[in-house]
Amino acid sequence: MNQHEIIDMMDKVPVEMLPELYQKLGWAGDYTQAPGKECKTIPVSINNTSGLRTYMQPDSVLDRSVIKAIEFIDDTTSALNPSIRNSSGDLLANPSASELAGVVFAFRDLDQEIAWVSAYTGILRLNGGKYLMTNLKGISWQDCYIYLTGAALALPVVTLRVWYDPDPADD
Amino acid sequence: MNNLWIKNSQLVEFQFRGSVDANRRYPATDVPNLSRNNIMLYGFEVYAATQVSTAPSGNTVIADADVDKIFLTLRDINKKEFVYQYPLYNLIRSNVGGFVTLIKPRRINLTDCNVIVSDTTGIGANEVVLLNMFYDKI
Repeated sequence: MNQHEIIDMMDKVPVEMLPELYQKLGWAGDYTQAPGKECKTIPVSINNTSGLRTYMQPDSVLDRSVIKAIEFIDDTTSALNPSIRNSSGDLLANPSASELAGVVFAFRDLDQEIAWVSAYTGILRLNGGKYLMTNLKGISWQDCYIYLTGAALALPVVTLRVWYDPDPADD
Repeated sequence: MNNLWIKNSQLVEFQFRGSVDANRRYPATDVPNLSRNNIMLYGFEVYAATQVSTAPSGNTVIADADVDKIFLTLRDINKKEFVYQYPLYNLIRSNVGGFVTLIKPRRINLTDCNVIVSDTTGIGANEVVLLNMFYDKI
């Protein structure tokens, strides 16, 4: 179905049917349930200088999955990240919500950025408990990156959680 | 009950170039990715400094205290202003319970879209309104 057909159809569809149509087109979905079949928490040790990007580690499962939501963990949600430690062996604290305002995440496929999100809007507790939902296919996870647009964080870690529907072959 | 899913998105800036004047229209900065491709806009949200302090371009994003003075207008390729002077406050998802604005899909003319300011107090020259446009390629 091309753009003109979709726009023509939208004009004929009653307003009460639009939510169902948007679901079929993959533009909207139910926020009252878990956004994906599986999730994983990914602590990232970042290049902690303003203006720099930190690329994700390769993940072939996410490459083959449909990415359904991304969440960013601030220090109120979870004080410490789960695995990245300082030289003394202590787990590093997660950034505050105000620090995450200086973080933007870019989803990429093999060619280009296909979506951008603000890390702050991925903090569940500050956004009505609603996940930052996506419907992203063909992602190249190792080409996705955290972009530190604001000031350096107090500690060089960002923790994110990704919800996804895995490829049935990986299930 | 539904909320928006991101299929594709692009950050778009509306910059207060030069002096900040009330009721003057400040257009969107052109983004070739949106101008060149066949895209349909189906949703959008705004970021103020609490959500994104600095845009990836390096431009300073407007302060939260200023969002209640700024209004967004979007125009489609038929020059129709299908979103006319919408208050920015309502487009920040954390202000509205996490919901994101969904619209009937439109092909837009990006540089015809603009913001206006009703009160210039506190808005700095060259600051930007940062919009995340959600679209599909068909």
